[in-house]
Amino acid sequence: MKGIVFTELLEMVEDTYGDEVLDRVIEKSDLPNNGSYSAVGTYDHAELVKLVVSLSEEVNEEIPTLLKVYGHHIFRVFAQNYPQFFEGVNDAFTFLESIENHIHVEVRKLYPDAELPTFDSIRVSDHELKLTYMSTRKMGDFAQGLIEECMKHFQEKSEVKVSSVEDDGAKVYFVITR
Amino acid sequence: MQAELSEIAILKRKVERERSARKEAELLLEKKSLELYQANEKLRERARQKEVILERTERKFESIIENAQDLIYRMDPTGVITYANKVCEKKMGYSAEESRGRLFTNFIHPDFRELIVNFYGIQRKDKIETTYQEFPAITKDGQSIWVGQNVQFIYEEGELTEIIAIARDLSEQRTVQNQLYSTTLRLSTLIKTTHSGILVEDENRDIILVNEQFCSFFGIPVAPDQLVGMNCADSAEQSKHLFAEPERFVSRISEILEHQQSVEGEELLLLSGNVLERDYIPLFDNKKYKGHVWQYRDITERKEGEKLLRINEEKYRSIIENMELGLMEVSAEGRIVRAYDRFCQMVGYTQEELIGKEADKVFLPPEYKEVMEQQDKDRARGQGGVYEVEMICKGGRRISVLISGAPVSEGNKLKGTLGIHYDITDRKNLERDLIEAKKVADQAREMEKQFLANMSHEIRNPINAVIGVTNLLYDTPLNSEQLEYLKTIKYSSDVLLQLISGVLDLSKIESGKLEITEQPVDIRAMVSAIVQTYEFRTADQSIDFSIDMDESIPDLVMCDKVILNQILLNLIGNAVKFTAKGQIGLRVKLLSSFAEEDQVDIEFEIKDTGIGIGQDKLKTIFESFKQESSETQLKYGGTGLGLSIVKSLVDTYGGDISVTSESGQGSCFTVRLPLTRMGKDQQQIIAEPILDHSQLSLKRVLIVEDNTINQIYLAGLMKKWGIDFEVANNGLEALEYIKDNKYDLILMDIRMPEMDGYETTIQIRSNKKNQNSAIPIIALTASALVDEKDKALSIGMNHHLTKPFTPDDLLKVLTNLHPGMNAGGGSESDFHFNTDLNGAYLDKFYAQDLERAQLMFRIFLKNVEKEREDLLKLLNDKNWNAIGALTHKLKPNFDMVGLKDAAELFSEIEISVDQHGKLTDELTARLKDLLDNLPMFVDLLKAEQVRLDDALQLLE
Repeated sequence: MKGIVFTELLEMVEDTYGDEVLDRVIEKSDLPNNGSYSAVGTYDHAELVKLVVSLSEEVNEEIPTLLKVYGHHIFRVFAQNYPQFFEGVNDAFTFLESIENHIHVEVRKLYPDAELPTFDSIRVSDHELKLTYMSTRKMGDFAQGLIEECMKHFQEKSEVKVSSVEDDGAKVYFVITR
Repeated sequence: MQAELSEIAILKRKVERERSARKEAELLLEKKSLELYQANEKLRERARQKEVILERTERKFESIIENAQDLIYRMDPTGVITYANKVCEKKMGYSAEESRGRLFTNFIHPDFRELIVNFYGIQRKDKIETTYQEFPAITKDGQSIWVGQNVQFIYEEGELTEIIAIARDLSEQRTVQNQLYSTTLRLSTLIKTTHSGILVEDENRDIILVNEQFCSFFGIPVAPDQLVGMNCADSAEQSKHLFAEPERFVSRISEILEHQQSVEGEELLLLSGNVLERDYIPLFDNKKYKGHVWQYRDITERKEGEKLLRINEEKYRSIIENMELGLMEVSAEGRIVRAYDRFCQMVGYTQEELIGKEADKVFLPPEYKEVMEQQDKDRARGQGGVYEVEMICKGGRRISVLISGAPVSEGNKLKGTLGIHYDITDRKNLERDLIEAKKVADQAREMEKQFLANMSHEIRNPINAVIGVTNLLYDTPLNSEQLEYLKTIKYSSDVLLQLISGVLDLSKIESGKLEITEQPVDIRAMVSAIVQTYEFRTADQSIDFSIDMDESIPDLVMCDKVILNQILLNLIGNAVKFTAKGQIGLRVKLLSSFAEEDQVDIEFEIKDTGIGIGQDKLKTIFESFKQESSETQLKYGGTGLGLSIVKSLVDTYGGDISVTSESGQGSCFTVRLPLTRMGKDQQQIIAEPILDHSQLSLKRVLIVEDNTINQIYLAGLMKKWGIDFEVANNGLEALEYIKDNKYDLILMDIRMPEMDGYETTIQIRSNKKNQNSAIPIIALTASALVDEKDKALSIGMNHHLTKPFTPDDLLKVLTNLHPGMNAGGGSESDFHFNTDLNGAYLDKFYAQDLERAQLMFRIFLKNVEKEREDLLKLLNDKNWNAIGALTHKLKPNFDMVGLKDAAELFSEIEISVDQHGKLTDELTARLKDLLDNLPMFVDLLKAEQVRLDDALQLLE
C-alpha cells in the first residue's frame, strides 16, 4: 500500500486526537518500522489494518466509520495535491467514471508496483451511477468515504448506497443518485 | 513530570519516525533517481538508434526523389522553390541552385501563368490537400514542355508550411495525344463532310458514328450526334419504305450481317428514282468481330451520266456511220469484236464473217505489216494515231484507207482498239493523177523553155545573116523606095536580134549557166565610168546626172564586174530611155560593214524623173516580156526583157531589187548586193603584174570607141606599151581607117552611135578585099552576159573583154592573140608622184597611166582658180548649202591630184552641212586656211605637171 495512505492516516489521527493518541495507536499496533512512514514508500496493507484496529480500540469508534472518515479526509488531500486530475471535469459522475481509465492509468505510470482497486461504472441516467468496487483489500467503507467526499467536492446533493456486497467485501456495489 | 517525560518520549519517537521516514524517502528518491537516470540513458540510446534509422530512411527517400522519373520540387507557402531534384535540372535546364529562390510561376508558359496561379489559389483557399493539373513549362532554352503536376499542400497545426510538387513530362504523351487527336479530327471531319452516308455500328448494332449525309439519305430528322448509342436492330424495317423493293432491302441487310463479309458497290433503287450504292465493311480486332461500317453513295447522277454517255455514244457512232466512216472494234489480241455496217460495206464482208477473225490476217497486205506493228505498239501505250494503209477486201480488191485508231481502255487495261476507216481510194487515185499531170506539165514547160532557147539560138544566125546582107545592100545603088524597104528590114531584124539575145540571156541565167567570177573592183571608178558613158550619150538631151557615193565604201571589193556592169547599165539605160529631160541620180550606199566580217552590203539606187510606172504594173515589171504598157512598147520600143534580166542577175547574186514609182513622177530602183570585202592577200595579187607587155609583138592598133574616157584610157595603155594606134569614134569612122591602113588588132566597142561594134565587125569580115578583113578583133562590152561574148564570137570577133577592164586584163588578151610577138621596144616608165602630194595613192590610181594623170592635172589646174573664187564668195555669203554641194563635187578632183587633206576637209564640210546645216567655226577656219594656201598647192601641182610632161616626152 502506498505510503501516502499511512502518512495521511497518521496525520489525520494526530490532527483529530492529538499526538498522544497517535503515539499509543502506533505503540499498540506493534509495527515493524515503529510507525515511520514516507509518502513515497510502499508498505504492507496489514499494517494499515493494524493501525485502524488499534485506533478503533483507542478511540472507541467503529472501524467502518473510521474508514469512511478517513476516505473523506484523503479525497480532500487528493483534491488538493493532484488538481490535474480535476482539470476539465465538471461533475462527480464524470470524475468517478474517469478513475479506472484515467487516474489509475496515470498512477501506475508513476508506481508500477501499486496494487489498485477496480472501479466499474455504469451510468444509468444523468442522476444515477452504478459503481462496482473490487479489491482484495476489502475496503468498501474507505471507498464509500471517498465517493461521498467526491460528491460533496462537486457540490452535488446525493445519496450513496451500498446495494450489495459480495466475496466478503471484495466486491461492493454502489448506487449513487444525485 | 511523568507527563512531561511521556510527552518528551512521544516527541522523541515522533522525531525518530520522521527521521527514519525521511531517510527511507531519501533512499527511495536516490533509487528513483538512479532508475530515472538509467531510464534516461536507455531513452537516449533508443533515440540515437531511431535517428540513425531515420537518417537512413531519409537518405533512401532522397535518393528515390533524386532518381525519380518525375520532376519533384518543394516550395514555401509563397511559391518560392526551396528544393528541386535532378530531374528538374535535366528537364528544365536550370540547376538546383538556379531554381532555388525563384517563384515556380517563372517556369510556367506565359499563356498559362494566370490560369495556373488561379488554380493553386483555389487549392489554397479551399484547403485542398492534393491536386493535379497539366500545363506547359518553359525550359531554360525556351522550349515548352507539357507537364502533369501533382501538388500537395502540407499543413502543420492548420498552417500551410510547405508545398510539394511532383510533375511528369507529358511531351511525348502530348505528341501522341495530339497526333491521335488530329487523326481523329481528320477522320471525323472526313466522315462528316464526305458525300457518302456513313454509319458505324458495334457488334451489338449500337451506333458508334453516323454522319449527316447518312441521316439525309434515310430522312432521319435528328442530328447525327444524337443517334450515337442508339440501337439499329429495327432500322432497316424503319427505312425500307424508301426503297423500290422494301422487303428485299430488309432481307439483304440480314443476309449481309449474317455473313460478315465485305460487300462493295451494291446498287439500291429508291422509290424517288434515285440510286444508292452501298458498301458493307465488317470490322475485326484480332479476328474478333467488333462491328461494321455501312457506306451509302448517291450515284443517281453517275447513272444518268452513264446512260447519257451510252446514248451519246450511239449517236456519234451513227453519225460516223452516216459520214461514210467505217467502224471496227478489235480486241487487245487483234481479233475483230464488232464490225459496223458501213465498214462491212466498205470491205464487202458481213459482220458474221468477220467476228472472231484476226483483223490483220483478213485485211492487211504484207507490205503494210510494219506500219501496223508500229501502230499496235502505240495503241498498247494508250496512244491513238492516224495512218494510211491499203486493205484487201473480199474478193481481193484493194482499197486505200485512212485509219484513225484509238485505244479503248477500261481502267488502266487496254481492252482493244477502235478503228475509224475512211475510204480514200478515189482521193489517192486523184493524187496520183495530179502528180503525173504536174510532171507532164513541168516537162512541157522545160521543153518549151528549151525550145525557146534553141529557137532563139537557131534564129539568131539567120537574123545575123539578114542584118549583114541588109548592110551590104546599103552599099548597092538603091532607089528611095528600096531604101525605105531596106530600112524597115534593118529595123525589124535589129529588134528581132535584140529580142532573141534577150531570150537567150534570160534562159541562160535561169538555167544557172551563168557563172559568177569575182575579182577586185573599184566600185567608184566603175559607177562614174557608166554615168560618164551615159552623160556622153545624152549630151543632146537635157538630163542632169548626179552621183552620190558613200565615202565609207572600200576602195576595192570583190564582185563579178560583168554582172554588176550589166545590172547598172540596164537600170541606167532604162532611166535614160524613159526620161526625155530631167534628172537621173545614182546613189551608192554602204548598208553594213563589219570589220570582222568579209561581207559588205552595198545598195545602188537609180532614180529618175521620167514617165514612171503605174501602180498596177509595178508588181509585174520584173516579169519577162512585161512592159509598163503596150503604148510604152509602141513609143519606146524594147523587148521587155531588160528588167527581168536584171532581176535574174540580182537573184543569182543573192541580192534583191525593188522599185517605187508613180505614173508621171519618175521611178526609183533599188538594188542591194552582198559583196565581199577584199582581203590583204588579194590586194597583194593585184599589186603584182601578172604579165609583161614587153612580150607583145603588136605594132599598130585601131581603137574603135565612142567613149572619150575609154579612148583616153586605151590610148594611154597603148602609149605605155609602145604600140601605135588610131582612134575611131564609131563603126563608120573605123571602116574609113581600115580602108587605107593595115592594123595588127582592132579594139572594138560594141555599143556605138552611127554603127555599132557587131555591125562594124561584120562589115570588116565581109569585105574580103580589104587587107584587114581577117584582123583580130577584140570586143569591148559592158554586158555581164556570157551571151554577149558568144554573140561577139559568133559574129566573127576573136575575143571579148568586159568593161571596165584592167590593163592586165587587156594585156592577157593581147598576149593570147599575139604570143611571141615583140612589142615595139617600149620600156616601163617608173614615174613616181611627188610625196608632198598623196604620192602612193596617185601611183596606184594612175598605174603609170601618165597621160591620164597629165589630163587630170591639166583640167584641175584650169578650173581651180575659179573654184577657189566661188568658194570664197560662198563663204562670205555664209551660203552653207552651196558650199556643201560644191565641196561634194570638188572632192574627187582634189583626190585625183593628190590633195588628200583638202579632199578630206571637203568630206568633213559636206557631213557638217548635211548634219547641222552649217559649218562649225573650226571647219570655217580650216577652209579659209586651205583657200589661202591653195596658190602654194597650185605651184606644187604645176611643178608636178611639168614632171609629168617630161616623163611623157621621154616615153614618146
